[in-house]
Amino acid sequence: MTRLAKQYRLLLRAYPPGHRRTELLDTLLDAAPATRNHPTARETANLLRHGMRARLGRPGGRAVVVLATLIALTAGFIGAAAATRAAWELVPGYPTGTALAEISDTVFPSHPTTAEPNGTGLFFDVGERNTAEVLLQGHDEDFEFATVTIAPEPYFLPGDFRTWTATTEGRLVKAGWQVGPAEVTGATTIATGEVDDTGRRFTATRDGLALTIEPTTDVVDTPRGSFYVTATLDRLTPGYVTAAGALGLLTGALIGWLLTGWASRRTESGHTPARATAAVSAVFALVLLLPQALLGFLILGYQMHSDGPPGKPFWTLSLTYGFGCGQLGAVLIAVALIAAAAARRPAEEVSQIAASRWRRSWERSP
Amino acid sequence: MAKPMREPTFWILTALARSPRHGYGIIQEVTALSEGQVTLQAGTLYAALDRLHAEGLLEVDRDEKVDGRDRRYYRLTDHGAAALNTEAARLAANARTAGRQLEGRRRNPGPATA
Repeated sequence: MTRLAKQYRLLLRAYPPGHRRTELLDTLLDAAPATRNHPTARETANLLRHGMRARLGRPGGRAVVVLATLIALTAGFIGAAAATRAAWELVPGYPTGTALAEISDTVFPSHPTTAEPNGTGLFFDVGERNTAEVLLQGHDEDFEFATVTIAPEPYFLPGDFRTWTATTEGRLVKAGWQVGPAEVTGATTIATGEVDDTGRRFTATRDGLALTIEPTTDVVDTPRGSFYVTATLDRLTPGYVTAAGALGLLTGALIGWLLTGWASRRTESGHTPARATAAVSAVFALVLLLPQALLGFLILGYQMHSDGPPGKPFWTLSLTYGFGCGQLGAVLIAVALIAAAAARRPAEEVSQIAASRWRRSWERSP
Repeated sequence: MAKPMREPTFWILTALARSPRHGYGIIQEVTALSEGQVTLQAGTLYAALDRLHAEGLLEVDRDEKVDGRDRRYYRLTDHGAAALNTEAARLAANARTAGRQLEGRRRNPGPATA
């Protein structure tokens, strides 16, 4: 087999197994000029596009394309979330020991401090649910990435918070942190929108960490002439986590498309109960899952746009408020796939696949 | 009233009007009949063949093995011939209408309007 034929055969794997692959190979080889060694870019795009469409069966049908696109979008979201979650395991943990002490000393020099992580692992869940509980009922609404809060003992520093903010920004810059602008915080008068200037908030970043510092005089029992202050350490999303998420999105979308195609082709002929069950289950599953996927993508887009730490994972809604919908959606997807598996495959496709398998085994035999 | 055909569909049916053809035969015939205006990509051709087969406009004529390669021939069904006939009549009527309008313009050129 020529090199060109091998490359065409590889591209033709975009098509479902069967007679069509060998038929197309014949046509492509006939149409290729003798000087051609590789498929052209136009041919490649054309074969991938029509091959992926052919995977869905039902030629000329538009509904199946819409359904497959929405399922691919939803599966892409699940893939992106799973890959991002897995990649976060590779991100270095929060600094401890001298590294943490260096940060504490930079923010609160010559003050005793405490540094407390709010979670033992990657995430914080106020309900502290174990794996079994999470699988049954999801996470608490406060589910978010774990942080480390550094605070002076006993939380209050003497002096003016404005002056302290300016000198702290200077110390952080000197220590190699990139310091963002400080915003005024305090109670807001609703009628005028005016903010009562009682505090500051600013974020500094360095080595994949974000340090958010909030001095304020608003806290109850703040002694006169003092202010309350905390510094919260978060981790920024590393580039490889984003890349893993993108790869997970593409993989999930591809799996969603191929599964839809498989189910669609199996239920293509006749109006059988299996066909109706598969279609209705898939549509209801989408009603439950698609909004979560779209909201998740919106959150992801916002997080990628902002320079700060992610705060909450972009799939948070699916593990908190949307958990029940997700569970039911997963059950409905399983029902759709079981119904498709139970459907009788069109006789023509079965015979084509059998013939193609027999041909391959015959070609391989000595 | 039938929907106008897409150009590849029209040319594929036209290429099959006289005799059954296989994939590459259809591509060659379409290029020749359209005087090089339409060159079908293989993926586009087979997507259209699947659709036309599902719509009953064409059917499989026979399978052959040539130099160890699978080759399937397609032929126009009566339904396909009728659809092509309808489309050809529609295009001819359109062409006649355009011709009449252009003839009128030549005979009686009016003032230019915005």
